[in-house]
Amino acid sequence: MRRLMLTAGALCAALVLSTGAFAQVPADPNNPNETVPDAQPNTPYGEPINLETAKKVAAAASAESAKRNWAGMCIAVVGPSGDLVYFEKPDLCQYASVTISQAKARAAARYRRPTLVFERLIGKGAFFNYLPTLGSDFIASRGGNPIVVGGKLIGAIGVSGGTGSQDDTISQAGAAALK
Amino acid sequence: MFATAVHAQQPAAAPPPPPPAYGPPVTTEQAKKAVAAAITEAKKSGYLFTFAVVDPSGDLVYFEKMDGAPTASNDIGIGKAWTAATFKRPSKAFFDGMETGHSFFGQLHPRIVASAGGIPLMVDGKIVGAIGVSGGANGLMDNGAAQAGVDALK
Repeated sequence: MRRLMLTAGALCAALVLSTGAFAQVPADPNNPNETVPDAQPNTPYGEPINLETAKKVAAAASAESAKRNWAGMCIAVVGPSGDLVYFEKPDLCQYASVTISQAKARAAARYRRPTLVFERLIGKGAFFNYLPTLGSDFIASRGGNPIVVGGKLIGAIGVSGGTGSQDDTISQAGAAALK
Repeated sequence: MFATAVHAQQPAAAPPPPPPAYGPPVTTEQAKKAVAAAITEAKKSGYLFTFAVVDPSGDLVYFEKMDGAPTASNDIGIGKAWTAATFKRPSKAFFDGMETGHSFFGQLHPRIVASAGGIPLMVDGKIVGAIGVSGGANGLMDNGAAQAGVDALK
């Protein structure tokens, strides 16, 4: 008798769960994430940026900093996987920027897009609140930019030390050195 | 009546002199100079290395990775530099401690890298940071390159 009750109970539970009595959350028509784009553009990764090229990128960024008299810009250059290839901290750079510049470079490489994109998306509102849950390599502050040569992403540059807008100016100057 | 035993005590071995004071954080220019010297020495081996310089707080000041160096050498090289700077002694001291049966050396802090290759950088008799090298056949090879970096600032 007990066995029959247990079996009946299990069957009832299965029926309740399968009808979706635990309600699905309906889609919000205002949510831009609901659309399904046709294409998936994928910039291929290339051979990791070599040290000499990384220094060239960093030098271009430094030159831009010097030109603008922004003396405290940390510069990080990473390979396609986000691992560090080159890093320099000018004497006047703040400590926080040591890690932030590396994080920006890493995110730009691993997500294959400028970190500016994430900053702007989060600024758009609640539908993009999910972004910071993506993981520890996510950073939503502009200043990280992919380094693309011959249509392939060979690395990324991250800059931190000023305002985000200043960081990104220097970062883009570095990435542009290879164009 | 209990006789209290008088134990003849061995005099405790005199402790080593205290390590030097910290100086002002290593400058970018000093860091580049040290790394350049370390690279020159490292290239003699034919192995591929990473080179890191940190300041007394253990924060990264300068980093270079030779093309094709082992991926793990990034964290290990930075870790050796961090160990040497924050403990005011070569990372080899931790290796030696563990090799002679003192495993607690490796457990004092999760960031410790108990392998030779991290050495404090000295300027005017003060510790201004440390250099860390990784990628060689063993810690001693890394250590030789790191020492060349240290010597460059003398």
